Amino acid sequence: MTNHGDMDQFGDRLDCGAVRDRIPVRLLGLLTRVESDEMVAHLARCEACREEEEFVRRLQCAACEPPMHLAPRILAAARTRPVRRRRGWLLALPAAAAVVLALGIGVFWNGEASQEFWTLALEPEATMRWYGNDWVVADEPQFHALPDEILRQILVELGP
Amino acid sequence: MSHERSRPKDLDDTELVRRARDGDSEALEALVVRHQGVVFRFLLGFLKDEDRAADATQDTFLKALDRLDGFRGDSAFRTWLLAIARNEALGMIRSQGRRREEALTDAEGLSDATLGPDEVAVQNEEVRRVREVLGRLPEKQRLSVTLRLFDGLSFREVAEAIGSTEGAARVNYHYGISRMREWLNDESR
Repeated sequence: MTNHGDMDQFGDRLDCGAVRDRIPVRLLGLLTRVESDEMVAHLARCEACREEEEFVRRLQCAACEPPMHLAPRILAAARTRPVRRRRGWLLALPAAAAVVLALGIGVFWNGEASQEFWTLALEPEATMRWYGNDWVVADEPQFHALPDEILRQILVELGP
Repeated sequence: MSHERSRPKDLDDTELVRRARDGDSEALEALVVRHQGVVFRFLLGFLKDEDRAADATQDTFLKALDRLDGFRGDSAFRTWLLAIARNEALGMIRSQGRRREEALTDAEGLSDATLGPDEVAVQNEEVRRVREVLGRLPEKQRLSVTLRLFDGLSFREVAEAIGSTEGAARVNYHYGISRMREWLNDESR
């Protein structure tokens, strides 16, 4: 049982905004002891935040768990998958081809996005250019994340 | 024996990734078991269908495993995994076109797998209601709520996962919670 006298040593250092930010994390047991005790001190004094905590607890009960067979299914598929040759976005495209690629992404993005379109346009085993690693996640380019400056650079290199 | 090998489930992600790269199947299993929940729930937030979310979760992990060498450790493994998951979801949504418009009614399908005996009907009805209102939220609010509420991701991690800013992730989370409260209270009257 919590000794309210002990809680007083923390005072109430947190405002309601900070407490409500942390409520789900505290209920998941992810706060440190000190952080949790600070929360408890505030909750002891704030009915509105206690109600928020109760509501969040209610919501957390509805967490959807993955099917029990999912992990075994993933691991089985991992064991039997063919060894992939990395297509790679390590490339040295001629400038014109790079622009075609960049523009082509815009054309295909909202339609039938074709993995084959990308791979046909690329030469694997080449030197990375323009995109660097920042716009590539797990070998997939994040074209939607390419900043305007990079796209402008591509157009400049293409020339007039 | 001078060194006792730690159990995979006790190791952090960095060490598990290193071992998985070396072909350690137990490390691989530990990574899958540890992160399948957050990936599945995140994808469910996008796709609003448990079967599709399960398929996308599998594809996410397989893609991550194929490209494990490319994980540079600049971000948390979970964050990197969710970025892959997001791409998977967007790819599935694009390839299946306007099925997203059915999302509001699809949200009710989330509860089908949880229906049980009569003695837990009340609890399951509550779960169904919560999931239904969660499904009504706009996508970024739904994803922010899902990641923060069920998996305790920091707002920074949420922002990275959904392609937003930390401040926007926080706002989306609180707006989402607030709207869910309104809807659930309205339904109670």
